[in-house]
Amino acid sequence: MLCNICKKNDATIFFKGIFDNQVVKINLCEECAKKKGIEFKPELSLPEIIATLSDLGLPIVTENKKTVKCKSCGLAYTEFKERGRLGCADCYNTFESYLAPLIERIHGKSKHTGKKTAPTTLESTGYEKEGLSQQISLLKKQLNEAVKSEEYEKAAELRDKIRELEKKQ
Amino acid sequence: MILGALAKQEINWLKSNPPAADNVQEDGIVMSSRVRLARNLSNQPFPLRADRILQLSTMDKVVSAVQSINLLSNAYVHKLNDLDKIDRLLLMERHLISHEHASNINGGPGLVFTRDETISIMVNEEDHLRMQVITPGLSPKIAWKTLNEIDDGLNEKLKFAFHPRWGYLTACPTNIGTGMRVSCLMHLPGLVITNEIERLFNGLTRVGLTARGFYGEGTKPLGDIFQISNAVTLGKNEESIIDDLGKVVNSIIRYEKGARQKLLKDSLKEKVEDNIYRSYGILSFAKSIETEEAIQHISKLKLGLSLKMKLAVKLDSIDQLIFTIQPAHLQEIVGRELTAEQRDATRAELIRKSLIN
Ligand SMILES: [Zn+2]
Ligand SMILES: [Zn+2]
Repeated sequence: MLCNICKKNDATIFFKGIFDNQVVKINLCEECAKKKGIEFKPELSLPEIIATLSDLGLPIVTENKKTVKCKSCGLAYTEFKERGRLGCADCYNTFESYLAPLIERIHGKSKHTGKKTAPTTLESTGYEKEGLSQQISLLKKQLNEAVKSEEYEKAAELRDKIRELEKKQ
Repeated sequence: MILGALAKQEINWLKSNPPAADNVQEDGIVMSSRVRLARNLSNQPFPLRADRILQLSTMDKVVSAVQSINLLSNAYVHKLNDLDKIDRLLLMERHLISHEHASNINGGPGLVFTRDETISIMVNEEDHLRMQVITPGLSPKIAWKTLNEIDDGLNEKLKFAFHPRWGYLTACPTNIGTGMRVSCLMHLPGLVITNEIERLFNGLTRVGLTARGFYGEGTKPLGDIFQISNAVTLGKNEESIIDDLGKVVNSIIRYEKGARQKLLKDSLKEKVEDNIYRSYGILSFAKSIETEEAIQHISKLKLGLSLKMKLAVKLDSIDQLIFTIQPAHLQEIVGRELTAEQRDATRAELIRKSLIN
């Protein structure tokens, strides 16, 4: 089996990606894997999967996605791309259209069929009052830092968010 | 250091002859089974985006919910920030917390665990709750039954983040859906010696399973011990995830047994026995030994026992030994901090003693 990237060497490292409900086997030679910083590991971390899929012509992030932020926790899609972690349950709504194909690639399926939570849990927007004041104090700290480091655009954004949250209190 | 008593306690989930295992215990090949669920509280940012104060309030909520559950009525509750480094490491060595949780010093990491260590809940790891049940041998169904009850009980008090299409929501999209990981801790020296282990790993990937190291995700294998677990959490229900893993684990047991048969063939037998007796010799006489080397040799003894070699040890105590010789265990047992050299000497002494008995 030939390596998917160089298409010259024999592939020795295999893993599974999922695209349009089809399992796509990704085969890399050791050399290309090393170049991509993938060691032989039985399992790849999410950022590695994202990186590798992008290299194989399955782009995941396009320019306009970079600016989208979650209203509840402030996470930007680019931050998710770097760390592979979402910030809150609402992120799944905010980034739904971007996450859907990724989730299908990871799991090969797109619908939960297992246990369901007690029905009261279904609505999930905004924070409980209790967490609100803590959230505000956290944002204020970030605001100070942003002002100190002269990131005025970010500061303005944080200020607006603090005002918004203070209204809810 | 306040967890000395725990370090001296035998690990319950390693004890052989599980009361009602799904399948018969197979030569100590499957050491234990574990089921883990990831859950998050709705309407709160995940721990990685919550400050310490918010994390501590999550901990309070979980602890108060825990109090309403009978199975957890005798559980210990720890804020990990109140424990020193050695205590936290001890909890990791006993597979009660992950490596990340043990090293999280900025947030508000917490742990709830029962006295027999069967049930534990990590609070504020990358998800608000990571709850697990560990049982001896191949018994994931038993573990799931208990864990399912605890999940139901907690859900009566706590609102979990749940998406109509994607199920339980987690910080990392690789865990959404059931939020469930089932794993078996397997001793596979036969497949390692016969060089078949990498082929097995490639095969696992194809059936939606994955192999992890001794301490779980992102850690390396020690002493030919691997955690085999499901890779996919969405689109299959909990029972079929467990059934599918069980089927594969049963065939891995067959492969491992086949590999061990090969080791008994003439051409290999002498070499393998020589190897095992050398390990026995080192463990019996060494005055100083590092953790990794010790586990490698103990793993050989475990193999030797299954090949019916005459070695003055029991399978049960061998499994316990793998855990008690780890660095934090040694320090908790002697009750003080030790340098690396002191640990190596203490470890060698502990092993020598346990081989004589
Ligand atoms: Zn290549
Ligand atoms: Zn969010």
